[in-house]
Formats: sequence, C-alpha cells, structure tokens
Amino acid sequence: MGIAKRNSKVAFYGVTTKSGVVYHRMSGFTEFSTAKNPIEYSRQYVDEETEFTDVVGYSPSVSYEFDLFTENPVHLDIADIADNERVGAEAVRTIILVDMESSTHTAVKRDFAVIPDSEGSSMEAYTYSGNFKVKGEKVFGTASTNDDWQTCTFTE
Amino acid sequence: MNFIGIMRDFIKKFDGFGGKYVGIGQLNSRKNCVYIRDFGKTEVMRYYVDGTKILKRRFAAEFETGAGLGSESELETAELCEAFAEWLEEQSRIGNLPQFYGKPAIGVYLSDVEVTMHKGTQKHTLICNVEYMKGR
Repeated sequence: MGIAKRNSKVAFYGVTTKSGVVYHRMSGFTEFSTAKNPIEYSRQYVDEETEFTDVVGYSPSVSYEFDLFTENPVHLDIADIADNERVGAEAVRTIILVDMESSTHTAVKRDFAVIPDSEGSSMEAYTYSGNFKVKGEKVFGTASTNDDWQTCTFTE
Repeated sequence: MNFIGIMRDFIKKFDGFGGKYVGIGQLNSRKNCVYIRDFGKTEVMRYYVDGTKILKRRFAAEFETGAGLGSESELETAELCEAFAEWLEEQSRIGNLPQFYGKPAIGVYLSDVEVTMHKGTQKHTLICNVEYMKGR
C-alpha cells in the first residue's frame, strides 16, 4: 500500500476553439482543492433528547490559484472571465479530473461556474485565484491522450 | 542536447563577447575564450498540483582579462558585465530563451560576478540562474 501522490489526479479544462472544445491540462496551478460543502438537515424531534442530522445534498466547489503563464490557454481563458467580468453561461466551463494511476485512466467530467476572486496578490508571479462551483452532474468515463497528457479526450 | 550545451548555444548569441570562442568546461588560461560551466545543482522553486515544477539551475560564463592593465580595462569589463546582465534581462522580457523539455525557459538572469586573480590574469565569473519548467 502506497501513499497517493497529489499529481496522480490531474485536471483538464475545456477551452472552446473554432474546431470545438479542447481539454487542456491545468498546469501552473498552485491550488486546486475540492470542498464537498455538504448540505445538512438538522432537527430535534419533540420526543427525542438529541438532534438528528442528515445530509440532503452537496454543493461542491474547487478553490484554485495559478501563476499566469501568458501562453497557457487555460490561464488565458480564466483570466478573460475575470478581466471581462463574464456572467452566466459565458462563465461556465467543463473540467475533467483524470486518475493517472488507474490503468484505464478513469475520469470524471463536470461543468463548473468560474467564480473569480482575486488577482495580483503575489510578488513572485501574477496570480489569479477563485473558485469553480458545480453547475452540473458528474459524468463518469475514461480519458485518453495523443500528446503525453497535454490535452485529453473524454469517453463516457 | 544537455543543459550546458543548451546554455552554451544561448550565450553564443550575446554580441558583447565579440569574437571570443564560447566553449564548455573550466577556464584554463585561454585568452579570447568564454567558457560556460554548470554548477550541477538544481533547485525546485515551485511545485504545481499537476506534478509540473519550476526548476532553477545555476551556471557560469567565465573569461579572463590581463591583470594590472589599469582602470580603462576595468571599466571595459564592468561595462561588459552590465551589458551581459541587460542582454539576459531583455531576452527574458521578449521570451527569446532556450527551450527545456519542449518549452522556453521562464527567465535567465545574472546573479553574481566574481573576480579572482590567477597567474597575472583576472578570471571573471558571471554567475547566472536559469528558471525553467519541467513537466510530468
């Protein structure tokens, strides 16, 4: 039994091009941390001494931070959303999370709203940070690549 | 090509060394030569969540001048060092940098200059750092 490396799960971000959506590796990110944010229903019944809690839903989000690389299409797309304060469908993107350790490269695809927060808070590099908040259901599948995982293709 | 070969080819583009031969290895009392030397130490500057990282590697460009030639020669050498530092900065700014692992380096900069005397010559060591990204 070995410890799972952080880089065993790699995210790919869908950037829309003239020929369709291309899923680029999310490189240059110093933070990509998932919070499940469970929604709880707590109540105390009149005939009970203790409170009861159930989980009735989830509102997952991913906090992100990256060093801006000027030729990275993922960075440029997120920066465009932040800089131009895009709203609604213009700020929704698809992210694929690939398990690089699994033999079949199992993957989960999901839509997220890009919620920018801050930028330029570091002296070492120009950084952008914010959250990806869930906008759709999980789709399970596998991922494959033709360019050593710089981009990937998702198969349901 | 290995690290030092890549840096040698890059430094060759600097006009300030004039017609000096740019080689690899330790300087050994050869005039009109600039030698590129690798310190062999790589430092990880930044880790990214996908496994990529920014590495910093140190190298030096060394050349000799005659010792005791007076202030004019000293000034010329100082100007050469300044011009070299500015050239590195300019190359970083315009992105005209050597490639590592298929991607251009992030920056190359002069970090220190050492001058040592040896058998009637002054050895100038321009210590530089190059930062580049290494992928998965």
